[in-house]
Amino acid sequence: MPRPDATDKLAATAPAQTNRLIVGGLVAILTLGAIFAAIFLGINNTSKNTSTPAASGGQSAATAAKATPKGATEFGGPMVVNPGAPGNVPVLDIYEDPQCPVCAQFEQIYGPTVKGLVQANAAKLVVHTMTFLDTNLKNDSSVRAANGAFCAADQGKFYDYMAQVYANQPAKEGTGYPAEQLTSFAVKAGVADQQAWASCQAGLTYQAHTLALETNTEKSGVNGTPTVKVAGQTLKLTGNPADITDAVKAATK
Amino acid sequence: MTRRRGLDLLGTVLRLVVGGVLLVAGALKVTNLGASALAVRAYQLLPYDLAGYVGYGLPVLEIIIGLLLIVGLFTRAASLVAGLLMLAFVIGISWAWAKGLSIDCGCFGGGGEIASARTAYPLELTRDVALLVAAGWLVRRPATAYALDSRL
Repeated sequence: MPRPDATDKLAATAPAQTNRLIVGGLVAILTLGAIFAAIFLGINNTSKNTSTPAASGGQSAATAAKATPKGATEFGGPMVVNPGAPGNVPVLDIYEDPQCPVCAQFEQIYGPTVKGLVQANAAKLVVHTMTFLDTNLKNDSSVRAANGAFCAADQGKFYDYMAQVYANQPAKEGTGYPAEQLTSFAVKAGVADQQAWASCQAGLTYQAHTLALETNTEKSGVNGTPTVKVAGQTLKLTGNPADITDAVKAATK
Repeated sequence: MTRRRGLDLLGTVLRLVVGGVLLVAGALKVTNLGASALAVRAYQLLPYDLAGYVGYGLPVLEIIIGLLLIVGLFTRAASLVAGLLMLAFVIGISWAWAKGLSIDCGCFGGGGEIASARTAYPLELTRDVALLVAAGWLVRRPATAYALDSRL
């Protein structure tokens, strides 16, 4: 039998190879394009969040952009609750998100102990308020609650305000804090000038500070809440308030 | 059924499993790119900015590779990428486990820090290693039944 003529077959495969190249090239280009588009979209979203000026604070965006609440170490820095603590006591760093359920549990179990340490100036409490749960839960309650606490900080009531936030956290994660509730926290925390607090809150005066604080904290390597450090060492929380008091005692010079 | 037909069909099943998992994983994450970036940062493996880029870009890549595998187009190249992704995930999860982090892998959305009792590293690793093996098989033998590759 003569060998079958392969000319037809060759002719049929030649354009197929070309097709493969064209389709492959298109798929590759589309893939890269889509990935870059997603990255661009992601970056754009974050930078938009951080540059949104205060909505209606009656302040110019320029002053609001770098507004730093009283007690914060710097713009985008954590809050020092008791700056009067003596030099021989360790720093107690607490990282919390207003919408984090485990943080509310932490406050319930360890809150009184921490408060006791602060009142006795037995540790220097530094609170890093985080707000990444807004991204996860697709709301803005963490930023608004943090802003409320920073507005209270201007009147020396940061810690009391945060205590209200965690004590009244909604049972279901993601429900968030309605504006009226955040106002009621200011009243219960004993903020003296309610009008000043309300205007500070309405304008989200410390939004930029809050978002910068989140970025700085993430960059420092803390990505979860609650995180507790004594003298820079992350504590393992076992549910016993002695976790903190023992570590503080050990680190006191 | 010939042996060859059997292997082709096995390849089809592997293609659909790997592609299906990638498509679902990508689709669940693509709707919240910010959370995806946070999940990558929780591994504390990449620098802050780079982790963000990976978080934004990864879901899209997963969706495209998943679709290619499901329809059987460029099976070898797509499986190679899928295998490399699985390898990266295995390395990432092992790193988190070894470092003592308590995180959710964030494979299907979510992610970030969780209670240490809720971590599922053995399960996550087993799943990703199994998918890595399946992808490796398809790289070695990309010929499968019902694939668009045969139409090109």
